[in-house]
Amino acid sequence: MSSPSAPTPAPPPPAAPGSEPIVVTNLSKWFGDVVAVSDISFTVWPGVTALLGPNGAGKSTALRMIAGLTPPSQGTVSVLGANPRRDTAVRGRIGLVSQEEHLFQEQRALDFVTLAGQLNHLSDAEGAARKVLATVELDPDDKRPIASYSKGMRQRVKLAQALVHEPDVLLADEPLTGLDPRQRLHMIKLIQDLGANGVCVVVSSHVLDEVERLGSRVLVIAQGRMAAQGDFHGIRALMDDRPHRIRVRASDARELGAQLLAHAGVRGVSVSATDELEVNTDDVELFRTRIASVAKAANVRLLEVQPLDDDLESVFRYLVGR
Amino acid sequence: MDVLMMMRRIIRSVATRGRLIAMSLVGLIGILIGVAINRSDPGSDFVPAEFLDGFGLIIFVPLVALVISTATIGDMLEERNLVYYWLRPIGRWKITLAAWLGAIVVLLPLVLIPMGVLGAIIGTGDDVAGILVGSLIGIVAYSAVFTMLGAFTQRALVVGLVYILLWEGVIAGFSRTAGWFALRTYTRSALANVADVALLDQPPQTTSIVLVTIAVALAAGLITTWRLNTMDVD
Repeated sequence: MSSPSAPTPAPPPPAAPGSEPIVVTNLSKWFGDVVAVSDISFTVWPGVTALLGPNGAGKSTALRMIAGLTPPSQGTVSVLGANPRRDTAVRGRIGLVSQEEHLFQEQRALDFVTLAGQLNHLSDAEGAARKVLATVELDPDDKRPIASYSKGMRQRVKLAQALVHEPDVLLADEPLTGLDPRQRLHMIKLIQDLGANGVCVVVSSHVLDEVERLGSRVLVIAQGRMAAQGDFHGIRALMDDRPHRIRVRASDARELGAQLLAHAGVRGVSVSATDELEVNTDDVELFRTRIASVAKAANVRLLEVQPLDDDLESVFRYLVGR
Repeated sequence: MDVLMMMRRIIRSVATRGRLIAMSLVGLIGILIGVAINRSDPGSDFVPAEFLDGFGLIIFVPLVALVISTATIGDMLEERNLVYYWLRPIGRWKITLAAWLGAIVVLLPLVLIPMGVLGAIIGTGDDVAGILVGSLIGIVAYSAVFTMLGAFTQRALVVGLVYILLWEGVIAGFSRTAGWFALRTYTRSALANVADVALLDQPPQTTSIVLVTIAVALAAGLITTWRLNTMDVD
C-alpha cells in the first residue's frame, strides 16, 4: 500500500553500511485484539525524522518499542546495533522525552536532571545538568519543586533529562505539546541543531505544521500502518495531489457549478441547495486561483468556500486507503 | 553509587508526611494500649511478650512494612515515572536493591522506635531484645516481599492485606506446614527465642530464621528484578 507509491525517501546523510542508528523491521504490536502497530519497517539515519500521524495512530507505541519500553509482538528493533530492551550499554546512548506528565515531582529540576546525569555515569553530572537546563531556558537555581512547574516547563525538564548525557539517539514523543509559541520556536531550533550535529532525532507529532517546521524526513503512520515515508515536501505533495472536496456557498449554486466544471479543473459538482454546492477537484491549487474570477464572470456572489477534508485525519485516511 | 542515589530519591518519595504520621500514630496507639493493659491490673497474668507478639509482630510490623514497601516501586508505576530509572544504563537489579534498601531505611526508625519503647515500658530487657530482633527480621523479609508485590500490581496494598490477614492470620494457623510459608512464623520465633517465652510450638532455631529471611529477601529480589526486566514501562 505505501512503499511502492510513496515518495522517494530523502537521501540520508553519509553513513557506513550497517551503521544506521535505528532499524525497524516488520514491527507489530498488539494488545489483546487491538492492533496498535502493524508490520512497519523503516530505517532512521542521523538528522531529524518525524513520526507523523493522528492521535491513536500507533506513533507512541512505535516510539516505546524503539526505546525498548515495551517488547514488539512481532518483528525487531535495532538501536545503534543493539536491542534497546536488553542491552544495558545502549540505553546510555538513548534519550527519551516521554509523553507522560509525571517526573519526580518533589525534586527540583536541577536535582532531577543531575540524577539523570549521575545514572548515566557522567563525571560532572551537576555541571552537565546546569548546562542543559540553561539550553532549554530553565533556571538551574530555581528552588521550586517540579510539581509546581507549568506544563511547558515540565516539557523542557523532560527534554533536559533526555539530553544531559548527549545521547546519539533522541526519541521525543510530542515534545512541543504545552509549549508557548516562543518556546515552540526555541524547541524546534534545538531539535534542528541536534539533527544537524549528527544526533538521530525521532520526533512524533500529529501536527503537520510542526513537522513542516522541523524540516524533517517524515514517516506517516495511520491506523498502526506505515502510510508513507519520505521527505516532507514529497509527503506534502502527495497529500495535495489527492482529490479534494470543497463546499461552496454562493448566490446561484447551479450557475457557479456549471462554470466551475468548464473552467476550474473541477471533476464533479453536486448541488445540495440553491445556494450550496460540493465540488470535487484533483487540482486544488488551480481551483483556488480560479474560483473568484469564475464566480465574477458568471455574476455569482461567493458566500463561503470551505474545504471538507483538509484535516489531518482525512489526509491520513486517504494515504492509508490508497 | 547508582543504588545510593536512587535509594535517596526513593526514601524522599516514599516517606511522605502523611504516611509517617499515620504509621507513627498506629505505633503510638499500640504503646498506649499496652501501657493501659499493663497498668490496669498489675496482679493479672499479663505477659508482655504476648502483647508484643500480638500487636507488634502480627499487626504493626507487617502493616507498616506493607504501606512503605509497596510504595517504593508501586508509586513509580502508578505515577508512570519508573522510566527515569529504567532507561538508564544500569542493571535493573540496582533498582530493586535501591527500592528494598530505601524501604528498610524508612522502616527501621518507624518500627524499631515504637517497638523498643513499648517493650521497655511493659516488658523486661529480654522482651525488648526479642521484639527488636523479631521486628528486624520482619522489616528485612516483609519489605522484600512487599517491594516485589508493588512491582506486580497497583493493588499491592489490598493484595498485601489479604496475605497478612488471610494467609498469615488464618490459613497459616491451620497446619504446621502452612506455617512455614508465613513470615510471621519467623518473626514470632525470633521473639520467642530471644525473650525465652513460649509463643508457638517448636519455633525454628535462630540460624534457620536468619537463613529463611535471607532466602526470602533474595528470592523476592530476583523476582522483582525479573519483573522489571520483562514489564512494559510507561
